[in-house]
Amino acid sequence: MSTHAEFREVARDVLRDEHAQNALATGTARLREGRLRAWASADDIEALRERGRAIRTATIRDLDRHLDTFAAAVTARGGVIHRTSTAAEAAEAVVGICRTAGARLVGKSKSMATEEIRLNQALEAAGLEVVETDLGEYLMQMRGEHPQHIVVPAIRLTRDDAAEALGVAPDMEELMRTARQRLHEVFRTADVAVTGANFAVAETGSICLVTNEGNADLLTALPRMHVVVLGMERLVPTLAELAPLLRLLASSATGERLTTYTTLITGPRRTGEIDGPEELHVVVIDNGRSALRDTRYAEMLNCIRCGACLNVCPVYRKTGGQAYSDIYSGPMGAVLVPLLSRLERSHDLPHASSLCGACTEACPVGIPLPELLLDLRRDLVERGVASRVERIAFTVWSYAWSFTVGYRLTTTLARLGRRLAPLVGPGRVWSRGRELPTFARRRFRDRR
Amino acid sequence: MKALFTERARAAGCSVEEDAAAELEADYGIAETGSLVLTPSPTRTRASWLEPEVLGAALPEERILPDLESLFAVLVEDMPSAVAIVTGPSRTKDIEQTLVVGLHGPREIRVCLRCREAPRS
Repeated sequence: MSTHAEFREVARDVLRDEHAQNALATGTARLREGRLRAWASADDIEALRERGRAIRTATIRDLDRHLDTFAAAVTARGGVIHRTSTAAEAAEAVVGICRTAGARLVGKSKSMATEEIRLNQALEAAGLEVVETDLGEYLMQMRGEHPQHIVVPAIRLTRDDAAEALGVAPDMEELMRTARQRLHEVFRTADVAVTGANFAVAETGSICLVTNEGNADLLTALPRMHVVVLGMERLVPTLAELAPLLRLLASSATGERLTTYTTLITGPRRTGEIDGPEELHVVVIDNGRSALRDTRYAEMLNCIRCGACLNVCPVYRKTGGQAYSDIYSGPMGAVLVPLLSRLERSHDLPHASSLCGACTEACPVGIPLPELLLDLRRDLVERGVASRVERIAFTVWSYAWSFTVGYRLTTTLARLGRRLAPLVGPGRVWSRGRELPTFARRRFRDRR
Repeated sequence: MKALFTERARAAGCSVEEDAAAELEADYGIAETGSLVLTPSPTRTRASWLEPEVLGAALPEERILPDLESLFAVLVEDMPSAVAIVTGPSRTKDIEQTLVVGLHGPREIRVCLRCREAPRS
């Protein structure tokens, strides 16, 4: 997890990288425009968003019951449920399943939940070969990097970068042919398919996966075993309630009516069927989620992982995914990562926001991200994680403003100090990326 | 229903014809999204709608359902082991946000609404 200095350092490098700045600006702008177009062409987007929010809130409120229903349905269809509490436990469960199966090659379909439990590292440490099959994720894996956007992991890569990662000429046809060839070899030879789940339907025990490439479909058709890593909050009570969420996800993530391949998997291959996995395992991960349900952060569990908030965030659009953490980024990441790990370990993230509110406006389920970021900042202060200078400054300030004299004195000082502040101590650091407003010559209360 | 399906399937990048060659028959179509719905069976693999470079799919008009909700209402009583809702050809925009079709699945999908030839599956 990054530290305060690291966020700034990484961000500073990205800011200097002209090529990265271009890629981020155009990439996020296109995704944003796609969403706005799709929202404008929907019948009644506000009603749909409200319905989505209501479904998510009601589901989280009653999550234990839905999890039990889901587990029973999966078991009835011949699947195996593994409930885990920590990230390490979840990764260990997947490694165990793969070992028991005598697996050597694991094919993966892009999944943020597996990033969260650092599954690739765990599988590799156990001697297994892991290959990502989403093109963007595969390119990032070849480069030894983490995904930088939850929907478009290789958002910063150009054709040349991609060609270099694959060791071919920078020609799109050539790139695609090479990637197709290599990844189809993985579909054919992998022993185990590991996927996440965009949603899981409690009443039927179905896993819902969406991809535009179709990689999850081939991956769950050919290998003999399928392991699903499911964040416990991905549940939807009924199939009927899945429909509006699929519309919200597709329109908000990529500006489509429906993602190209939207697939529901219910249990392993059935008698007489020719392909599909013989075994289906679902590893349910908690990793700090259940502890959030009764807190003011519960609404964060409503997130459907569409990435819309990243595409409009002035901080993400400049700094990219790298600076946040190696898992989630942008406004949703700035809230979720500190909540799922320890706040102290990612104390810089709640500050990686201008609190402008663009994220909430873009969020299909209206999560009040800036409010949650402010709450996290408050928690940091309460736990004594905030810097001493900051705490002293605010203590003095609030004391001074409790008297008329103090108020007058500080506002006078502020007028004088405006020119001096950027020259000394903490004022210099603070003013590096900010500008103080010009103060009026006369205070409002002095004007008659 | 047929008109809406045709419009939306074309918007998603499929061609929709009255008569064309078909490798397989879709279980359903969805008008709202222009999607084909495909499920595996003892005579049909999951790979069958992903492996051909050009996929010809027969879709009898009367199997076109209005929306996702109506599809789920039909399926919920007896969920197949896999239900693929396919909206247009396989595509990616992972490199420079440039649209490329056919990376993993078909690069072209031809939907045939009044297929006279018997589909092979």
